[in-house]
Amino acid sequence: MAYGKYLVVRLLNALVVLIVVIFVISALFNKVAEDQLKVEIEENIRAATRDPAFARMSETKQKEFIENKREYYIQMHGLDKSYVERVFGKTIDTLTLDFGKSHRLPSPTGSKEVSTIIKEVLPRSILLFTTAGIIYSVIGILVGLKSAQRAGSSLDKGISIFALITLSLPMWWVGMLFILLFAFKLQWFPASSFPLPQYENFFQYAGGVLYKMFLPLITIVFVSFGAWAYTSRNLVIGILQEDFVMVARAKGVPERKVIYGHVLRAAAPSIVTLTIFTLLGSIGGAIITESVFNWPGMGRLYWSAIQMNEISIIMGLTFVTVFLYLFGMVFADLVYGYLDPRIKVGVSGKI
Amino acid sequence: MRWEDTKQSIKNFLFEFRHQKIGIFGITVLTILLITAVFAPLIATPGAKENWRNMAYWDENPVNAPPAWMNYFTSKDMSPHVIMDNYEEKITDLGGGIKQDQVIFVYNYEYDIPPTDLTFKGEFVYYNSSKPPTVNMSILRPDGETIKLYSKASQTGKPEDDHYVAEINVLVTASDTAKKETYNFGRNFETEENLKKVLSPDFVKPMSVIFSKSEPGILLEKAGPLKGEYKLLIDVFYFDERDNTRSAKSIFAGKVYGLLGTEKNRRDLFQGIVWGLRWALALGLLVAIITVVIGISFGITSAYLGGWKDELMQRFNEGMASLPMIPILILIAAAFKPSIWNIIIIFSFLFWTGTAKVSRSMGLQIKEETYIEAARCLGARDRRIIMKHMIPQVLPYAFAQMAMMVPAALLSEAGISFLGLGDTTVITWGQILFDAQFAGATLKGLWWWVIPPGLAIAVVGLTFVMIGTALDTVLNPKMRRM
Repeated sequence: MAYGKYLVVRLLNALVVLIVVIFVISALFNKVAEDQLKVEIEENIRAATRDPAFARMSETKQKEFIENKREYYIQMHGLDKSYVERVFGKTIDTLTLDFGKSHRLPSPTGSKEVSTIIKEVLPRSILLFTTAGIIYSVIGILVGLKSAQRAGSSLDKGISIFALITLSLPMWWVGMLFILLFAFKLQWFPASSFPLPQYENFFQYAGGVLYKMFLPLITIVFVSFGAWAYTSRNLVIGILQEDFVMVARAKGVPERKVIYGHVLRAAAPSIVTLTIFTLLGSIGGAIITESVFNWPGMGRLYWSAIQMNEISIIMGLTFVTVFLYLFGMVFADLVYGYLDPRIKVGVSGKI
Repeated sequence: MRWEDTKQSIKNFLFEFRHQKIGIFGITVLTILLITAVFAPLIATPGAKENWRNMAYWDENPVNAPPAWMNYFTSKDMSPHVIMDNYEEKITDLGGGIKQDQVIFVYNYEYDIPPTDLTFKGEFVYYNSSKPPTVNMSILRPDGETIKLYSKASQTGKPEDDHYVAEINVLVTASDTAKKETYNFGRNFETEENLKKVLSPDFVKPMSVIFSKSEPGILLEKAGPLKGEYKLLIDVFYFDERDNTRSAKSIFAGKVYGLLGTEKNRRDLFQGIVWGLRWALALGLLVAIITVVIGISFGITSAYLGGWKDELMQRFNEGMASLPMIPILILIAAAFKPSIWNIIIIFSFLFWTGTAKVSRSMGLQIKEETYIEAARCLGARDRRIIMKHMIPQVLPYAFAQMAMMVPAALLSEAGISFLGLGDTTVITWGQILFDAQFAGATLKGLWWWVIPPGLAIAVVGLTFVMIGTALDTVLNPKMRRM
């Protein structure tokens, strides 16, 4: 039963954090959102005064008309409520995925609902992130295992140095370099992933998407896998010194089986959770990388929203990333709990 | 801790650190970086820092010029950037109150690819308000041919005391006279067939014609370069005895420029890189120090207090740690457009969680040591125990952690700036990369605009990672593994 309790505690914790964060964000950004709304209201009123019917009204009527309009909009956007009320309202709206409307920036299908705009770009970001994550964690683990087996060899040293170097590289800058090299100089891949190909049949579409996704993909893999290989190397080296490995070897278990059966199984909980953590940790760099390649995901939306000063879109995007991030954290914990039998049976109550 | 002990432990530390090759290398690079940052005003131009966003300041530089050392790698020599303000003056009295002042610039052209532009800037003093000087400009080629580049009847100037100052600023590539004249000049040597390809002066590149041999292909940038001594002649006709030339300057805008080249707005990238280093180091170090101080105090206090207070502090820490930094930073930066100092403060308040977590687990172990118990028995207060007995134990770890924090801060700031959300009153490398991205530098192959700023970020980051790794190996107390 311990696993169930563990699960509930983790979920509750994440939920509390999510609510608190959204509340704080709403409190902080109500002012900014309010200023933007006011500008929007004035614009709406100005548009209304262009109506020929307005020109025919007397001056006092015109003033009254403007006042009425302003009152109407202020009430519609809830600006007449107190600050506290608005903050609570905004928190609840955000939690129910109602991010309001964008100011100017529409979605590709023309909707101005922020939630629709985000819904359209989100799958593409997830596609890019998870593909990259799977590739670099597999490469990383294999390379890490190899260098742990030959600790101190030139491969091992090379991996450590490579990890140190990539750790201090901005991912998006590496993306720019890859564009210079592969798109400008060699012209193997397109510099911009936008627009994605039209859907005709599955293979043509998948091939086209992969072709356009290739540069952002290898950028993320290139920058992430070194550090990851280094981490799994350290993990495996720690496990290789455990008694059970010695026993297995002493029993005459083939080395391949020792590594892939015993060691990898023991390292599995940490490796899986760390994979998820690394993937989550790279979200920040990856969304900036997306905008370098014009990959039509969240990063590109971030870029255009920032250029057009669309605070409501940025808030929506932040909420979605925070949500995905927390979800990923909980998921990592759950997987850890599942893979580590000590947690399942409740031996270590305090983890 | 007594002074003697401190001295001894520093000695031990230095003894061990000496054997860390990677650390020594890191320290060496850091020293070079610090010296560069301190002496930035001597290495770069102080004016560049203040005028980074004032585009008028840079208008003498070429556009998108690669670095000058590119000439070592290409078979064709590209002309460097040359600014000349030493000139000969020949004054002749033409009679009738007219005075000719010939200003001569001598330019030695020994390259294969001509300058991208030729600018002349002059200030002419004249006394009779109705008779400003007339300025003609032409170039005398090594083969004895002369091409007229500019001619203007009169220039009205600004009044100054009892006289006027006419300022002229000629850009050959923008001068219609130059286009027409070079076209007419080149036509004499061109074949019928080639002439069909160049229908009017609008299609001519004046700079290429000026510096090409007079042979077919001259209008099409296909003739060979004409090397030798060129004379830029500025003929100024004055209509008063007292009139004179106050200053004259000519700029042969280079195909290549300086150490790191220039970008689209003519800014010298070397200046940007050097001045950017100051903020990179200041931001990285400040954030690292504040973060680690907050993290350690938080962690140790939490460990020492224990019980529900510890639980509460840990929940808070976990909450902070489970936030994705970059999206939160983007949101804050987009909404409030913070200054660089506020960015430093925001970073510091977001980055401390990892340090706090580790120092708490270290604190939990230290707390159980007998000397803490002894101190408590002696009646020491909580604050004294934390400050005097616990924090010093964690300090070695703190230094290693600080070094590791610098790249994180640097990368985050670069990321924010790259999205165009940085403090625009200072120069940072992230902002240079933002400009590059905005101008599509990668698509135009302007590698000298893209590579150096990122490389600079990487070098500073790597320096601190190296120092951090070395410190970690030397100082690493076993309890960190807890």
